[in-house]
Amino acid sequence: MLVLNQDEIDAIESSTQRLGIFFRLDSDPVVRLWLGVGPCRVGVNALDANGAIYTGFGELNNVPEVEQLINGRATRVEFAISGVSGRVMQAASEDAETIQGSECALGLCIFGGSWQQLGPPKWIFRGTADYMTMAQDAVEGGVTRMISLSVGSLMTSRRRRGLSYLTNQDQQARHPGDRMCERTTLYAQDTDKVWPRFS
Amino acid sequence: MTTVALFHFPINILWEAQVSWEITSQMVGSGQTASGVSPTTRIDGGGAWKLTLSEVNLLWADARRTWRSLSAICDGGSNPIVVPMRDIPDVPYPTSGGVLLTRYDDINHTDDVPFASGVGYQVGTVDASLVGAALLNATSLTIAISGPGTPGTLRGGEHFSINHPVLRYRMYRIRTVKDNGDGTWNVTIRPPLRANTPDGTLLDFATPKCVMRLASGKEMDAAFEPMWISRPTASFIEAFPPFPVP
Repeated sequence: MLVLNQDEIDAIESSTQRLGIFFRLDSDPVVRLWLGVGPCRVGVNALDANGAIYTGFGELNNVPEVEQLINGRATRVEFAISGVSGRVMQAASEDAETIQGSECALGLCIFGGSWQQLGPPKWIFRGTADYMTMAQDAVEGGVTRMISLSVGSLMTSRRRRGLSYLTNQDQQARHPGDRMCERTTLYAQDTDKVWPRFS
Repeated sequence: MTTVALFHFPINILWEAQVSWEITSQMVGSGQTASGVSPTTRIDGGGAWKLTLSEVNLLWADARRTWRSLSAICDGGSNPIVVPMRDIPDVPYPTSGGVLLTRYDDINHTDDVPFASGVGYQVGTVDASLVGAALLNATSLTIAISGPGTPGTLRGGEHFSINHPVLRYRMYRIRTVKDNGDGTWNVTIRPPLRANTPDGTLLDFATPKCVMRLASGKEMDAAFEPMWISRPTASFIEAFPPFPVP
């Protein structure tokens, strides 16, 4: 839940805001980047118990559009990271298992008119890092190299085994004693279900 | 971390016709509303320095060779370079008897002999330092200015640089000024302070500098007219460590 103090509310109600966009990958070592220029110290927040310094030397190229996930929805987003940054190249060259499965968080922080933080970063999206891909394109004036980090949400990896059904027999094999699929056979397409008479 | 030696742009050899030192600003807008309002959001944390040297005079051999040498040193933008700013008209020089004191006489060695080139040791006349430690990202500082005669005054718009231990030379522009009346000034700066800075840190107002790199690989391309004359234009952007060993 996004909780803002009054200073932050006043700041975002103005027609010109100053925001910091933060990216945190809980790998070993932790990767902390932000979209601003230069290093940025943030205070204690939900993910950095002692505060931390986020670097902004052009590593984080862009952040994806994220949405609020409800009712078990899953999503997969791509973070664009500079492919020419030494820090990123070092992280990408590590064992893939170091990155895969690491918690990835996207947060924002509201600054005041003097570029001082009005509150700690608010982590608006948390996902699980999956894999990195590198793309290199020729553009006018040179070549751009970008690394994309694919991040899934909590429900992204939910699975239903192939050739399995939601029948009572299958459900008992998967979870003995579970009665969820007990009445599955009573439901069929184009069939009217008569309201039961208990008398 | 090993300190990497950085080359300095020779502003005494290469003179430009126009110079532009500005701070970048990345604004994100959502378009104009029906009422004509255009809300914008800034997400760059204060911006970074960008520099354009327009029509640098390469009219004589030293300038021409220096430019070509620098082009190779900058290596298409992969090597940073320290670029000083020529800010002489706005440096808060002290005055004595109504005369600006821009420099002292050269100081020779103890045997009164200068260097082989004929110059001696030089020292600036603006003695400025930070009062109280300042934290990373700070935009409000207290500055003490002293010196011979009547110390210079700040009005806003001046530039100074700090040689940080890791980030090296970083330049700052004074935004607002308040005279405390005791030789100290409360100022606000942009961009925000790049590193934690201890009390007493020297501030260079005389020749502010910043670590920059070429904005693109073609910035130092120079086309020469017959008799080897050229007036190229080059753009730089602020560079951050780690710096490669040149």
